[in-house]
Amino acid sequence: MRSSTRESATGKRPAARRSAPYGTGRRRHLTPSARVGAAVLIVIALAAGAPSIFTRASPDQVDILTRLAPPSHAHPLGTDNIGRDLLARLVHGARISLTVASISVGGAVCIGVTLGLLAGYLGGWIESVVMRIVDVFLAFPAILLALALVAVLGAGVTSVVTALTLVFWTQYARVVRATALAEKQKVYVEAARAIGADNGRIVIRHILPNILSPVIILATLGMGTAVVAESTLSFLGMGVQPPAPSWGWTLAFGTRYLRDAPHIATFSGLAIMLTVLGFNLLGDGVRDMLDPRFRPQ
Amino acid sequence: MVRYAVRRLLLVVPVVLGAAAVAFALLLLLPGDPAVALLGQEASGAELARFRHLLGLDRPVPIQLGLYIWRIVHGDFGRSVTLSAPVLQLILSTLPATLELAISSIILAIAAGIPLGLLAARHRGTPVDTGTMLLAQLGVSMPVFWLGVLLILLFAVKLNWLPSFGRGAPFLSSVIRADLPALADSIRHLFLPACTLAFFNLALLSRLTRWALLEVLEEDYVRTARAKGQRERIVLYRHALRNALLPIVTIVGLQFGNALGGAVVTETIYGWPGMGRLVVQAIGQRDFPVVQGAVLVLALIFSLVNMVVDLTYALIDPRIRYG
Repeated sequence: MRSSTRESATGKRPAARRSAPYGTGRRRHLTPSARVGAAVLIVIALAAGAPSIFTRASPDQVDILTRLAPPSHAHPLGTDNIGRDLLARLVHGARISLTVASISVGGAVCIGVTLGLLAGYLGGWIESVVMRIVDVFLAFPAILLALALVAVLGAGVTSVVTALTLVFWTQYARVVRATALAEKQKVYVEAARAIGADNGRIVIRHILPNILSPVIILATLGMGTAVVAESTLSFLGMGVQPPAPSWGWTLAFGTRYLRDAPHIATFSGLAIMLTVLGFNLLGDGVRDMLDPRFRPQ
Repeated sequence: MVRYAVRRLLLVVPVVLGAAAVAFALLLLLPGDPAVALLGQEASGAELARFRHLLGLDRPVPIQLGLYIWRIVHGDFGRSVTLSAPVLQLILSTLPATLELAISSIILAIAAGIPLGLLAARHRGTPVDTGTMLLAQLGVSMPVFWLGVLLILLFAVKLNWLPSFGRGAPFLSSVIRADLPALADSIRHLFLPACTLAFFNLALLSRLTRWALLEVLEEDYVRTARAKGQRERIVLYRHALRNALLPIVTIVGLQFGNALGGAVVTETIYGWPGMGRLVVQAIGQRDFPVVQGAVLVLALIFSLVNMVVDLTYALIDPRIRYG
């Protein structure tokens, strides 16, 4: 209604109807490479959710007679050192990787967004304390801190998730604080305050929805980082423990048989890389879609 | 600039104190008695009691933290439970190997990453650009340990060209002594671990260089330079690249942190006798004084490198120091 009034007043169709201003409405679809990433991730999510689609073999079925067998019709990706089907182990391992990554990134987002919002919106001593804690955590190389935390918490899924959450929350807090600082200066926040909204309502109903774009981008890319981190911890023997079919552990074990059975290390590494590649491609695509600075002009 | 440098140096102090607090907190997170964790299961009751009193573990937590920081400031990082040696001595004996690996990987990443990004930006939208960025995407997606395994498989197992384990003669001392056979041995051992560690940073750097250059190439002063009829080579190298270097300098500093973290994995794969391998071995043997000390020293190095990067940035861009 409003646009038709403007149209009649100027005698022209408003530009917004044909193409939205730069940075507001263009390119609301994924790039081709991001679609490839999404497709890869769908396959891996299917493997995690419904492994029977890909293989009927059990990941724990031992067949010592076929140990270290190369890829064949019976075992498409070969077998490991005690004859377990590698395809079955990798397909079932997808669930571990995706679960650990999702929970740790989810936890990191919750902590980071909450503390970042508090720091950015309230400022003062809360901001100083939160940002100094962030600085301290960022002083450690991420994987080293995760390793140290798992070392004291003990190996296992819970420890890995806790360690990764504690390592990753800082990046969300930093980005959210910076974005919240910019958002709270805007007119819509002033308007909300003018109509009597309290701080809680302003933060949750008004600022939070406006800072979600960078969080979504970071979280998508962060999923790939979390998959690598989980695999790295397992590779070093500190992550998910055997007999669980963790990708990192399978790869670490495969390095012992590089001469006789290189397929173990090769395929398990490929599974990790494809998953990370999927998240990176999707993350880049989401960034291109949500962040106007990255859109082609 | 001096005022900015002093201010930036002072900012490192609380971060390092905080890092010491985190390293100390690792001990509090340990299930069970920290004295048992530090001395080992074999320690007698009397030994444990004496040790608790010596470290102040029988006092309130804030005093324990104060004592821990006091000891660290005086260079006392405790003793290794398994190696029966002062932690600081173990750290100082392994640090040169880690720095050698991390610095050579960063040099490799810069030497290959920036030219690749430049190449991609110069040929934007062509197959060269697509191919380079595809390689970079693979680089940032490839786990360090898998790349390490693949390189060992190819160059050590299949081709038998390079060693897959250990460190040769120290690189720097070979150069200083001009000992060519030792230098060759050092490079042969260093090549695979350095390439493994460099690949991620190389990929990241090439993506960033391309992005930064494309941003700068849109600027008015580049258009002006072209309008003046300057050759494309001059426009690219003298005008665009110099300004695109600003974000690259920051990332190189952060990459040093990546390299220190990545060294933990790379050193384990290649049996490189550095701090990373020391940490992993210490964790495996539950040697917590070593874990605490190594984590703290790496955090300290990382903070100092970040400070140097910030100072370099301020030196290049006056807006930072006057901002």
